[in-house]
Amino acid sequence: MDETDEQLVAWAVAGDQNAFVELFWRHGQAVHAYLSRRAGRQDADDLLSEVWLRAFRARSTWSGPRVLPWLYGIAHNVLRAHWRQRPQPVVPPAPPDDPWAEIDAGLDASAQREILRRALAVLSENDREVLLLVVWEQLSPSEAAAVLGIPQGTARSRLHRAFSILRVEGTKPPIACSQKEA
Amino acid sequence: MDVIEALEELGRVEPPGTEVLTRTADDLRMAAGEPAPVRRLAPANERSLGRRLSIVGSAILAGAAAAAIAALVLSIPGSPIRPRPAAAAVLAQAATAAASQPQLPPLASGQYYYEERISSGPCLTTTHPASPPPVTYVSSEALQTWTTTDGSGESKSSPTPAAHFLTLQERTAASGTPPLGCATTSAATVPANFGDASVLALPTDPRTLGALFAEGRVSDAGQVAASAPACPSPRNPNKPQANPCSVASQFNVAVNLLSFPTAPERLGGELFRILEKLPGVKIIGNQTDALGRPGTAIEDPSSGIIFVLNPTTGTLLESEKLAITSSEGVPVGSTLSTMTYGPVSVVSGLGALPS
Repeated sequence: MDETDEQLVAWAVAGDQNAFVELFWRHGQAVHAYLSRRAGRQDADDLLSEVWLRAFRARSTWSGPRVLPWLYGIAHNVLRAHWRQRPQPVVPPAPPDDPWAEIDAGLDASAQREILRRALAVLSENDREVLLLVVWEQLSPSEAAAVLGIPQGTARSRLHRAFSILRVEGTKPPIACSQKEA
Repeated sequence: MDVIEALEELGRVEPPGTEVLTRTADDLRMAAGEPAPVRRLAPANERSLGRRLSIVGSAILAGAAAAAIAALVLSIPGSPIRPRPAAAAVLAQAATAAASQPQLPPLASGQYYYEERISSGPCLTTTHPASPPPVTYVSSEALQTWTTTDGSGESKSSPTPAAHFLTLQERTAASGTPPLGCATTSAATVPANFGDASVLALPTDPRTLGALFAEGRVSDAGQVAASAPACPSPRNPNKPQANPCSVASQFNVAVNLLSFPTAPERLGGELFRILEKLPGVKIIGNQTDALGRPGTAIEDPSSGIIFVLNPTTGTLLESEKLAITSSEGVPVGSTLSTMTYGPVSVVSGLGALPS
Protein backbone atom coordinates (compact mmCIF):
# COMPACT_ATOMS: atom_id res chain seq x y z
CA MET A 1 0.00 0.00 0.00
CA ASP A 2 1.28 3.48 -0.85
CA GLU A 3 2.45 5.64 1.98
CA THR A 4 0.44 8.75 2.74
CA ASP A 5 1.89 12.18 2.05
CA GLU A 6 2.10 12.72 5.76
CA GLN A 7 4.16 9.55 6.26
CA LEU A 8 6.54 10.59 3.50
CA VAL A 9 7.13 13.99 5.11
CA ALA A 10 7.63 12.35 8.49
CA TRP A 11 10.18 9.95 7.03
CA ALA A 12 11.93 12.82 5.26
CA VAL A 13 12.17 14.64 8.58
CA ALA A 14 13.56 11.46 10.14
CA GLY A 15 16.30 11.32 7.50
CA ASP A 16 14.92 9.06 4.78
CA GLN A 17 16.68 10.39 1.68
CA ASN A 18 14.15 9.04 -0.78
CA ALA A 19 10.93 10.06 0.90
CA PHE A 20 10.86 13.65 -0.26
CA VAL A 21 11.73 12.65 -3.82
CA GLU A 22 8.77 10.27 -3.64
CA LEU A 23 6.59 13.16 -2.51
CA PHE A 24 7.86 15.17 -5.46
CA TRP A 25 6.87 12.49 -7.98
CA ARG A 26 3.46 12.53 -6.39
CA HIS A 27 2.85 16.29 -6.40
CA GLY A 28 5.46 17.78 -8.72
CA GLN A 29 3.00 18.31 -11.51
CA ALA A 30 0.40 19.95 -9.28
CA VAL A 31 2.95 22.46 -8.01
CA HIS A 32 4.18 23.06 -11.54
CA ALA A 33 0.58 23.72 -12.63
CA TYR A 34 0.17 26.18 -9.74
CA LEU A 35 3.24 28.08 -10.90
CA SER A 36 2.40 27.80 -14.57
CA ARG A 37 -1.10 29.26 -14.15
CA ARG A 38 0.29 32.32 -12.42
CA ALA A 39 3.67 32.90 -14.02
CA GLY A 40 3.58 31.02 -17.32
CA ARG A 41 5.18 27.74 -18.24
CA GLN A 42 8.74 28.93 -18.72
CA ASP A 43 8.98 30.56 -15.31
CA ALA A 44 7.24 27.55 -13.79
CA ASP A 45 9.97 25.34 -15.25
CA ASP A 46 12.60 27.61 -13.70
CA LEU A 47 10.93 27.97 -10.30
CA LEU A 48 9.77 24.40 -9.70
CA SER A 49 13.10 23.27 -8.31
CA GLU A 50 13.34 26.27 -5.98
CA VAL A 51 9.91 25.55 -4.54
CA TRP A 52 10.76 21.94 -3.79
CA LEU A 53 14.17 22.73 -2.36
CA ARG A 54 12.59 25.30 -0.06
CA ALA A 55 9.98 22.76 0.93
CA PHE A 56 12.67 20.18 1.64
CA ARG A 57 14.62 22.59 3.81
CA ALA A 58 11.42 23.52 5.64
CA ARG A 59 10.12 19.96 5.94
CA SER A 60 10.28 20.00 9.73
CA THR A 61 7.92 22.99 9.81
CA TRP A 62 5.03 21.15 8.16
CA SER A 63 2.27 20.55 10.66
CA GLY A 64 -0.57 19.15 8.54
CA PRO A 65 -3.22 18.21 7.95
CA ARG A 66 -2.55 18.11 4.17
CA VAL A 67 0.77 18.47 2.40
CA LEU A 68 -0.40 20.00 -0.87
CA PRO A 69 -1.71 23.30 0.60
CA TRP A 70 1.60 23.61 2.45
CA LEU A 71 3.46 23.17 -0.86
CA TYR A 72 1.23 25.78 -2.52
CA GLY A 73 2.04 28.14 0.32
CA ILE A 74 5.74 27.76 -0.38
CA ALA A 75 5.12 28.17 -4.11
CA HIS A 76 3.13 31.31 -3.32
CA ASN A 77 6.09 32.78 -1.43
CA VAL A 78 8.53 31.81 -4.18
CA LEU A 79 6.31 33.51 -6.75
CA ARG A 80 6.07 36.68 -4.68
CA ALA A 81 9.84 36.82 -4.37
CA HIS A 82 10.12 36.17 -8.09
CA TRP A 83 7.74 38.99 -8.94
CA ARG A 84 9.51 41.37 -6.61
CA GLN A 85 12.64 40.79 -8.65
CA ARG A 86 10.90 40.88 -12.01
CA PRO A 87 7.36 42.28 -12.11
CA GLN A 88 4.97 40.16 -14.09
CA PRO A 89 1.36 40.61 -15.16
CA VAL A 90 -0.78 39.01 -12.47
CA VAL A 91 -3.63 38.23 -14.83
CA PRO A 92 -3.14 34.77 -16.34
CA PRO A 93 -1.83 34.84 -19.88
CA ALA A 94 -4.33 34.34 -22.67
CA PRO A 95 -4.33 30.83 -24.07
CA PRO A 96 -3.18 30.53 -27.66
CA ASP A 97 -5.88 30.84 -30.30
CA ASP A 98 -6.93 27.64 -31.95
CA PRO A 99 -7.72 28.32 -35.62
CA TRP A 100 -9.21 24.88 -36.07
CA ALA A 101 -11.81 25.08 -33.35
CA GLU A 102 -15.45 25.28 -34.33
CA ILE A 103 -16.45 28.87 -34.94
CA ASP A 104 -19.43 28.97 -32.57
CA ALA A 105 -17.70 27.21 -29.70
CA GLY A 106 -14.62 29.28 -30.24
CA LEU A 107 -16.50 32.55 -30.20
CA ASP A 108 -18.43 31.55 -27.11
CA ALA A 109 -15.35 30.35 -25.27
CA SER A 110 -13.22 33.31 -26.20
CA ALA A 111 -15.99 35.73 -25.19
CA GLN A 112 -16.32 33.96 -21.85
CA ARG A 113 -12.57 34.01 -21.37
CA GLU A 114 -12.46 37.71 -22.12
CA ILE A 115 -15.15 38.39 -19.53
CA LEU A 116 -13.27 36.31 -17.01
CA ARG A 117 -9.98 37.97 -17.76
CA ARG A 118 -11.58 41.37 -17.29
CA ALA A 119 -13.23 40.25 -14.05
CA LEU A 120 -9.99 38.81 -12.71
CA ALA A 121 -8.27 42.07 -13.51
CA VAL A 122 -10.92 43.93 -11.49
CA LEU A 123 -10.36 41.72 -8.47
CA SER A 124 -7.76 42.68 -5.94
CA GLU A 125 -4.71 40.47 -5.82
CA ASN A 126 -5.79 39.07 -2.45
CA ASP A 127 -9.32 38.21 -3.55
CA ARG A 128 -8.10 36.74 -6.82
CA GLU A 129 -5.60 34.45 -5.13
CA VAL A 130 -8.20 32.95 -2.82
CA LEU A 131 -10.57 32.45 -5.75
CA LEU A 132 -7.95 30.77 -7.90
CA LEU A 133 -6.78 28.50 -5.10
CA VAL A 134 -10.35 27.28 -4.72
CA VAL A 135 -11.16 26.95 -8.43
CA TRP A 136 -7.82 25.94 -9.91
CA GLU A 137 -6.16 24.08 -7.06
CA GLN A 138 -9.42 22.65 -5.72
CA LEU A 139 -8.64 23.73 -2.16
CA SER A 140 -11.26 24.47 0.44
CA PRO A 141 -11.44 28.07 1.71
CA SER A 142 -9.78 26.86 4.93
CA GLU A 143 -6.89 25.37 2.98
CA ALA A 144 -6.60 28.51 0.87
CA ALA A 145 -6.35 30.46 4.11
CA ALA A 146 -3.51 28.20 5.24
CA VAL A 147 -1.68 28.70 1.94
CA LEU A 148 -1.89 32.46 2.24
CA GLY A 149 -1.33 32.61 5.96
CA ILE A 150 -4.61 34.40 6.67
CA PRO A 151 -7.51 33.60 9.00
CA GLN A 152 -10.20 31.33 7.63
CA GLY A 153 -12.85 34.02 8.01
CA THR A 154 -10.75 36.40 5.94
CA ALA A 155 -10.38 33.82 3.20
CA ARG A 156 -14.13 33.23 3.18
CA SER A 157 -14.93 36.90 2.91
CA ARG A 158 -12.38 37.37 0.14
CA LEU A 159 -13.85 34.43 -1.73
CA HIS A 160 -17.38 35.78 -1.29
CA ARG A 161 -16.26 39.15 -2.61
CA ALA A 162 -14.52 37.57 -5.59
CA PHE A 163 -17.60 35.54 -6.48
CA SER A 164 -19.77 38.64 -6.18
CA ILE A 165 -17.63 40.47 -8.71
CA LEU A 166 -17.66 37.49 -11.01
CA ARG A 167 -21.43 37.40 -10.73
CA VAL A 168 -21.59 40.97 -11.94
CA GLU A 169 -19.11 40.39 -14.73
CA GLY A 170 -20.23 36.95 -15.69
CA THR A 171 -23.51 35.59 -16.85
CA LYS A 172 -24.29 32.93 -14.27
CA PRO A 173 -24.42 32.85 -10.47
CA PRO A 174 -21.32 31.54 -8.71
CA ILE A 175 -21.15 28.51 -6.46
CA ALA A 176 -21.52 29.05 -2.72
CA CYS A 177 -18.53 28.88 -0.42
CA SER A 178 -20.17 26.24 1.74
CA GLN A 179 -20.30 23.77 -1.14
CA LYS A 180 -16.51 23.46 -1.18
CA GLU A 181 -16.16 23.29 2.55
CA ALA A 182 -18.70 20.52 2.92
CA MET B 1 -20.61 27.60 -20.29
CA ASP B 2 -20.75 28.14 -16.53
CA VAL B 3 -18.55 30.92 -15.25
CA ILE B 4 -16.69 28.54 -12.97
CA GLU B 5 -16.17 26.08 -15.81
CA ALA B 6 -14.82 28.91 -17.91
CA LEU B 7 -12.50 29.88 -15.10
CA GLU B 8 -11.33 26.30 -14.77
CA GLU B 9 -10.69 26.17 -18.50
CA LEU B 10 -8.69 29.34 -18.22
CA GLY B 11 -6.50 27.59 -15.65
CA ARG B 12 -5.82 24.55 -17.77
CA VAL B 13 -2.08 24.19 -18.33
CA GLU B 14 0.24 21.76 -20.03
CA PRO B 15 2.14 19.33 -17.80
CA PRO B 16 5.85 19.93 -17.30
CA GLY B 17 8.41 18.19 -19.47
CA THR B 18 10.33 15.14 -18.31
CA GLU B 19 13.56 17.11 -18.12
CA VAL B 20 12.07 19.63 -15.70
CA LEU B 21 10.76 16.88 -13.42
CA THR B 22 13.99 14.89 -13.54
CA ARG B 23 16.08 17.99 -12.85
CA THR B 24 14.02 18.87 -9.81
CA ALA B 25 14.11 15.31 -8.49
CA ASP B 26 17.90 15.35 -8.84
CA ASP B 27 18.11 18.68 -7.03
CA LEU B 28 16.12 17.12 -4.20
CA ARG B 29 18.37 14.06 -4.12
CA MET B 30 21.38 16.34 -3.90
CA ALA B 31 19.77 18.29 -1.09
CA ALA B 32 19.04 15.03 0.69
CA GLY B 33 22.67 14.01 0.45
CA GLU B 34 22.67 11.73 -2.57
CA PRO B 35 24.69 12.43 -5.73
CA ALA B 36 22.70 13.68 -8.71
CA PRO B 37 22.78 11.23 -11.60
CA VAL B 38 22.12 13.80 -14.31
CA ARG B 39 23.20 17.35 -15.11
CA ARG B 40 22.60 20.12 -12.65
CA LEU B 41 20.32 23.10 -13.14
CA ALA B 42 22.08 25.64 -15.33
CA PRO B 43 22.54 29.17 -13.93
CA ALA B 44 19.68 31.53 -14.70
CA ASN B 45 21.64 33.54 -17.25
CA GLU B 46 22.55 30.38 -19.16
CA ARG B 47 18.95 29.27 -19.18
CA SER B 48 17.86 32.66 -20.53
CA LEU B 49 20.51 32.57 -23.24
CA GLY B 50 19.56 29.04 -24.15
CA ARG B 51 15.92 30.07 -24.25
CA ARG B 52 16.65 32.85 -26.70
CA LEU B 53 18.88 30.79 -28.94
CA SER B 54 16.95 27.57 -29.17
CA ILE B 55 13.41 28.28 -30.22
CA VAL B 56 13.48 25.56 -32.86
CA GLY B 57 15.46 23.24 -30.62
CA SER B 58 12.97 23.79 -27.83
CA ALA B 59 10.13 22.77 -30.07
CA ILE B 60 11.96 19.59 -30.99
CA LEU B 61 12.89 18.90 -27.37
CA ALA B 62 9.37 19.63 -26.25
CA GLY B 63 8.06 17.12 -28.76
CA ALA B 64 10.56 14.53 -27.63
CA ALA B 65 9.83 15.23 -23.98
CA ALA B 66 6.11 15.02 -24.62
CA ALA B 67 6.56 11.71 -26.39
CA ALA B 68 8.74 10.42 -23.56
CA ILE B 69 6.35 11.49 -20.84
CA ALA B 70 3.42 10.15 -22.83
CA ALA B 71 5.14 6.78 -23.02
CA LEU B 72 5.70 6.84 -19.28
CA VAL B 73 2.22 8.01 -18.49
CA LEU B 74 0.43 5.58 -20.78
CA SER B 75 1.35 2.68 -18.53
CA ILE B 76 -0.46 4.27 -15.59
CA PRO B 77 -4.10 4.88 -16.50
CA GLY B 78 -5.65 7.91 -14.90
CA SER B 79 -2.34 9.32 -13.70
CA PRO B 80 -1.08 12.44 -15.48
CA ILE B 81 2.33 12.17 -13.84
CA ARG B 82 4.79 9.31 -13.73
CA PRO B 83 4.63 7.80 -10.29
CA ARG B 84 7.89 6.27 -9.23
CA PRO B 85 7.82 2.64 -10.43
CA ALA B 86 8.15 0.12 -7.64
CA ALA B 87 11.33 -1.31 -9.16
CA ALA B 88 12.89 2.14 -9.35
CA ALA B 89 12.08 2.79 -5.70
CA VAL B 90 13.69 -0.50 -4.65
CA LEU B 91 16.74 0.17 -6.81
CA ALA B 92 17.07 3.69 -5.46
CA GLN B 93 16.99 2.27 -1.94
CA ALA B 94 19.61 -0.31 -2.92
CA ALA B 95 21.77 2.41 -4.48
CA THR B 96 21.71 4.41 -1.27
CA ALA B 97 22.46 1.34 0.82
CA ALA B 98 25.24 0.14 -1.48
CA ALA B 99 26.91 3.54 -1.47
CA SER B 100 27.18 3.41 2.31
CA GLN B 101 28.52 -0.16 2.48
CA PRO B 102 31.90 -0.46 4.21
CA GLN B 103 34.94 -1.29 2.11
CA LEU B 104 36.30 -4.82 2.19
CA PRO B 105 38.87 -5.08 4.99
CA PRO B 106 42.51 -4.88 3.83
CA LEU B 107 44.40 -8.16 3.65
CA ALA B 108 47.24 -8.98 5.99
CA SER B 109 50.20 -10.94 4.68
CA GLY B 110 49.12 -14.37 3.40
CA GLN B 111 45.41 -13.62 3.61
CA TYR B 112 42.92 -13.97 0.72
CA TYR B 113 39.46 -12.84 -0.13
CA TYR B 114 37.19 -15.88 -0.33
CA GLU B 115 33.90 -16.05 -2.18
CA GLU B 116 31.64 -18.98 -2.98
CA ARG B 117 29.07 -18.91 -5.74
CA ILE B 118 26.58 -21.51 -6.85
CA SER B 119 26.08 -21.82 -10.57
CA SER B 120 23.29 -23.89 -12.05
CA GLY B 121 21.54 -24.39 -15.34
CA PRO B 122 20.68 -26.99 -17.96
CA CYS B 123 23.68 -28.80 -19.30
CA LEU B 124 22.62 -29.23 -22.91
CA THR B 125 25.84 -29.52 -24.80
CA THR B 126 26.61 -33.16 -24.14
CA THR B 127 24.65 -36.25 -25.05
CA HIS B 128 24.96 -39.19 -22.71
CA PRO B 129 26.84 -41.95 -24.51
CA ALA B 130 24.41 -44.57 -23.29
CA SER B 131 21.40 -42.57 -24.31
CA PRO B 132 21.38 -41.36 -27.89
CA PRO B 133 18.50 -38.94 -27.37
CA PRO B 134 19.81 -35.90 -25.48
CA VAL B 135 18.86 -35.70 -21.82
CA THR B 136 18.52 -32.48 -19.88
CA TYR B 137 20.68 -32.44 -16.83
CA VAL B 138 20.45 -29.40 -14.61
CA SER B 139 23.97 -28.97 -13.37
CA SER B 140 24.81 -27.21 -10.14
CA GLU B 141 28.34 -26.26 -9.19
CA ALA B 142 29.94 -24.55 -6.25
CA LEU B 143 32.55 -22.08 -7.47
CA GLN B 144 35.08 -21.15 -4.82
CA THR B 145 37.65 -18.41 -5.36
CA TRP B 146 40.56 -17.20 -3.27
CA THR B 147 42.03 -13.95 -4.53
CA THR B 148 44.48 -11.34 -3.29
CA THR B 149 44.21 -7.60 -3.80
CA ASP B 150 45.75 -7.79 -7.29
CA GLY B 151 43.10 -10.29 -8.36
CA SER B 152 45.41 -13.32 -8.49
CA GLY B 153 44.65 -16.57 -6.71
CA GLU B 154 42.88 -19.85 -7.30
CA SER B 155 39.44 -21.10 -8.17
CA LYS B 156 37.78 -24.46 -7.72
CA SER B 157 34.48 -25.81 -8.99
CA SER B 158 32.69 -28.91 -7.75
CA PRO B 159 29.21 -30.34 -8.26
CA THR B 160 26.60 -29.82 -5.57
CA PRO B 161 23.80 -32.20 -4.54
CA ALA B 162 21.30 -29.84 -6.16
CA ALA B 163 22.25 -31.08 -9.64
CA HIS B 164 19.53 -33.25 -11.16
CA PHE B 165 17.97 -34.64 -14.29
CA LEU B 166 15.04 -32.64 -15.55
CA THR B 167 12.69 -35.64 -15.48
CA LEU B 168 12.69 -39.08 -13.93
CA GLN B 169 12.47 -40.57 -17.43
CA GLU B 170 15.68 -38.83 -18.43
CA ARG B 171 17.39 -40.02 -15.25
CA THR B 172 16.34 -43.57 -16.03
CA ALA B 173 17.46 -43.26 -19.65
CA ALA B 174 20.87 -42.06 -18.52
CA SER B 175 21.14 -44.72 -15.79
CA GLY B 176 21.52 -41.96 -13.24
CA THR B 177 24.94 -40.93 -14.58
CA PRO B 178 25.36 -37.25 -15.39
CA PRO B 179 26.27 -36.49 -19.00
CA LEU B 180 29.98 -36.06 -19.62
CA GLY B 181 31.25 -32.66 -18.64
CA CYS B 182 28.14 -31.71 -16.73
CA ALA B 183 29.29 -32.55 -13.21
CA THR B 184 33.04 -32.34 -12.84
CA THR B 185 35.45 -31.02 -10.29
CA SER B 186 38.15 -28.69 -11.52
CA ALA B 187 40.68 -26.23 -10.19
CA ALA B 188 42.43 -23.33 -11.88
CA THR B 189 44.92 -20.63 -11.15
CA VAL B 190 43.58 -17.10 -11.42
CA PRO B 191 46.12 -14.72 -12.97
CA ALA B 192 46.82 -11.31 -11.47
CA ASN B 193 44.59 -8.45 -12.62
CA PHE B 194 42.04 -10.88 -13.92
CA GLY B 195 38.56 -9.52 -13.58
CA ASP B 196 38.34 -6.90 -10.90
CA ALA B 197 41.11 -4.69 -12.24
CA SER B 198 38.91 -3.35 -15.06
CA VAL B 199 36.02 -2.84 -12.71
CA LEU B 200 38.22 -1.00 -10.26
CA ALA B 201 39.34 1.31 -13.08
CA LEU B 202 35.80 2.37 -13.98
CA PRO B 203 34.88 5.99 -13.16
CA THR B 204 32.89 6.42 -9.98
CA ASP B 205 31.34 9.72 -11.03
CA PRO B 206 27.70 8.79 -11.72
CA ARG B 207 27.31 11.11 -14.68
CA THR B 208 30.45 9.86 -16.40
CA LEU B 209 29.61 6.22 -15.76
CA GLY B 210 26.00 6.74 -16.85
CA ALA B 211 27.12 8.37 -20.10
CA LEU B 212 29.52 5.49 -20.84
CA PHE B 213 26.67 3.03 -20.27
CA ALA B 214 24.26 4.98 -22.46
CA GLU B 215 26.86 5.00 -25.25
CA GLY B 216 27.33 1.25 -24.93
CA ARG B 217 31.04 1.62 -24.18
CA VAL B 218 31.25 -0.53 -21.04
CA SER B 219 31.69 -4.28 -21.43
CA ASP B 220 30.25 -6.79 -18.98
CA ALA B 221 33.80 -7.32 -17.69
CA GLY B 222 34.31 -3.62 -17.04
CA GLN B 223 36.46 -2.67 -20.02
CA VAL B 224 35.71 0.71 -21.58
CA ALA B 225 35.77 1.02 -25.37
CA ALA B 226 37.86 3.90 -26.69
CA SER B 227 35.00 5.11 -28.84
CA ALA B 228 31.25 4.66 -28.86
CA PRO B 229 30.09 1.66 -30.91
CA ALA B 230 27.32 1.87 -33.48
CA CYS B 231 23.87 1.65 -31.92
CA PRO B 232 22.06 -0.42 -33.04
CA SER B 233 24.62 -2.90 -34.28
CA PRO B 234 24.77 -2.79 -38.10
CA ARG B 235 24.96 -6.59 -38.19
CA ASN B 236 21.89 -7.16 -35.99
CA PRO B 237 19.86 -3.95 -36.18
CA ASN B 238 16.69 -5.54 -34.80
CA LYS B 239 18.18 -7.50 -31.91
CA PRO B 240 18.23 -5.54 -28.62
CA GLN B 241 20.84 -7.85 -27.10
CA ALA B 242 23.18 -7.01 -29.98
CA ASN B 243 22.67 -3.27 -29.50
CA PRO B 244 25.25 -2.13 -26.94
CA CYS B 245 23.11 0.92 -26.08
CA SER B 246 19.89 -1.01 -25.52
CA VAL B 247 18.24 -1.49 -22.15
CA ALA B 248 18.95 -5.22 -22.43
CA SER B 249 22.67 -4.61 -22.85
CA GLN B 250 22.93 -1.96 -20.16
CA PHE B 251 21.01 -4.15 -17.72
CA ASN B 252 23.22 -7.14 -18.49
CA VAL B 253 26.43 -5.16 -18.06
CA ALA B 254 25.33 -3.53 -14.80
CA VAL B 255 24.26 -6.83 -13.23
CA ASN B 256 27.50 -8.49 -14.35
CA LEU B 257 29.58 -5.72 -12.85
CA LEU B 258 27.68 -5.93 -9.58
CA SER B 259 28.76 -9.57 -9.38
CA PHE B 260 32.45 -8.69 -9.16
CA PRO B 261 33.52 -9.08 -5.54
CA THR B 262 35.01 -5.62 -5.17
CA ALA B 263 32.43 -3.79 -7.28
CA PRO B 264 29.49 -3.41 -4.90
CA GLU B 265 31.14 -1.27 -2.27
CA ARG B 266 32.87 0.87 -4.88
CA LEU B 267 30.34 1.12 -7.69
CA GLY B 268 27.20 -0.41 -6.23
CA GLY B 269 25.43 2.91 -5.73
CA GLU B 270 26.15 4.08 -9.27
CA LEU B 271 25.26 0.74 -10.88
CA PHE B 272 21.94 0.47 -9.06
CA ARG B 273 21.26 4.09 -10.06
CA ILE B 274 21.86 3.17 -13.72
CA LEU B 275 19.50 0.20 -13.37
CA GLU B 276 16.91 2.46 -11.71
CA LYS B 277 16.72 4.67 -14.77
CA LEU B 278 16.31 1.91 -17.37
CA PRO B 279 12.76 1.82 -18.74
CA GLY B 280 10.76 -1.40 -18.57
CA VAL B 281 12.60 -2.81 -15.57
CA LYS B 282 10.04 -4.24 -13.19
CA ILE B 283 9.75 -5.80 -9.79
CA ILE B 284 8.66 -9.44 -9.59
CA GLY B 285 8.32 -9.75 -5.84
CA ASN B 286 9.97 -11.30 -2.84
CA GLN B 287 12.23 -14.23 -3.61
CA THR B 288 14.64 -16.39 -1.65
CA ASP B 289 17.96 -17.27 -3.24
CA ALA B 290 19.64 -20.69 -3.35
CA LEU B 291 21.38 -19.94 -0.05
CA GLY B 292 18.07 -19.22 1.63
CA ARG B 293 18.52 -15.45 1.84
CA PRO B 294 15.38 -13.36 1.29
CA GLY B 295 15.43 -10.55 -1.26
CA THR B 296 13.52 -8.71 -3.96
CA ALA B 297 13.52 -9.96 -7.55
CA ILE B 298 13.88 -7.43 -10.37
CA GLU B 299 13.47 -8.29 -14.05
CA ASP B 300 14.37 -6.76 -17.37
CA PRO B 301 12.06 -8.50 -19.86
CA SER B 302 14.07 -7.34 -22.86
CA SER B 303 17.15 -9.31 -21.79
CA GLY B 304 15.46 -12.09 -19.83
CA ILE B 305 17.68 -11.32 -16.84
CA ILE B 306 16.31 -11.46 -13.31
CA PHE B 307 18.31 -10.62 -10.24
CA VAL B 308 17.58 -10.84 -6.56
CA LEU B 309 18.92 -8.15 -4.31
CA ASN B 310 18.71 -7.20 -0.69
CA PRO B 311 17.50 -3.60 -0.96
CA THR B 312 18.37 -2.74 2.60
CA THR B 313 22.06 -3.59 2.11
CA GLY B 314 22.37 -3.03 -1.64
CA THR B 315 23.73 -6.56 -2.05
CA LEU B 316 23.32 -8.64 -5.19
CA LEU B 317 22.23 -12.10 -4.07
CA GLU B 318 21.43 -14.01 -7.25
CA SER B 319 21.00 -13.58 -10.99
CA GLU B 320 19.05 -15.67 -13.43
CA LYS B 321 18.89 -15.76 -17.22
CA LEU B 322 15.68 -16.80 -18.95
CA ALA B 323 15.30 -17.88 -22.55
CA ILE B 324 13.58 -15.08 -24.46
CA THR B 325 13.69 -16.66 -27.90
CA SER B 326 12.96 -20.17 -29.06
CA SER B 327 16.44 -20.38 -30.58
CA GLU B 328 18.10 -20.78 -27.17
CA GLY B 329 17.50 -24.53 -26.96
CA VAL B 330 14.81 -24.52 -24.28
CA PRO B 331 11.23 -23.23 -24.23
CA VAL B 332 10.85 -19.44 -23.96
CA GLY B 333 10.72 -18.47 -20.30
CA SER B 334 12.81 -21.41 -19.11
CA THR B 335 15.82 -20.78 -16.91
CA LEU B 336 19.08 -20.92 -18.82
CA SER B 337 21.36 -20.28 -15.89
CA THR B 338 21.38 -19.13 -12.30
CA MET B 339 24.23 -17.72 -10.25
CA THR B 340 24.05 -17.21 -6.51
CA TYR B 341 26.63 -14.91 -4.94
CA GLY B 342 27.83 -15.76 -1.47
CA PRO B 343 29.36 -13.16 0.81
CA VAL B 344 33.02 -12.18 0.43
CA SER B 345 35.16 -12.80 3.50
CA VAL B 346 38.80 -12.76 4.49
CA VAL B 347 40.53 -16.10 5.04
CA SER B 348 43.98 -17.05 6.27
CA GLY B 349 45.33 -18.59 3.06
CA LEU B 350 44.70 -20.43 -0.20
CA GLY B 351 42.16 -23.20 0.28
CA ALA B 352 41.11 -21.94 3.71
CA LEU B 353 37.41 -21.46 4.43
CA PRO B 354 35.70 -18.83 6.56
CA SER B 355 35.40 -19.80 10.18
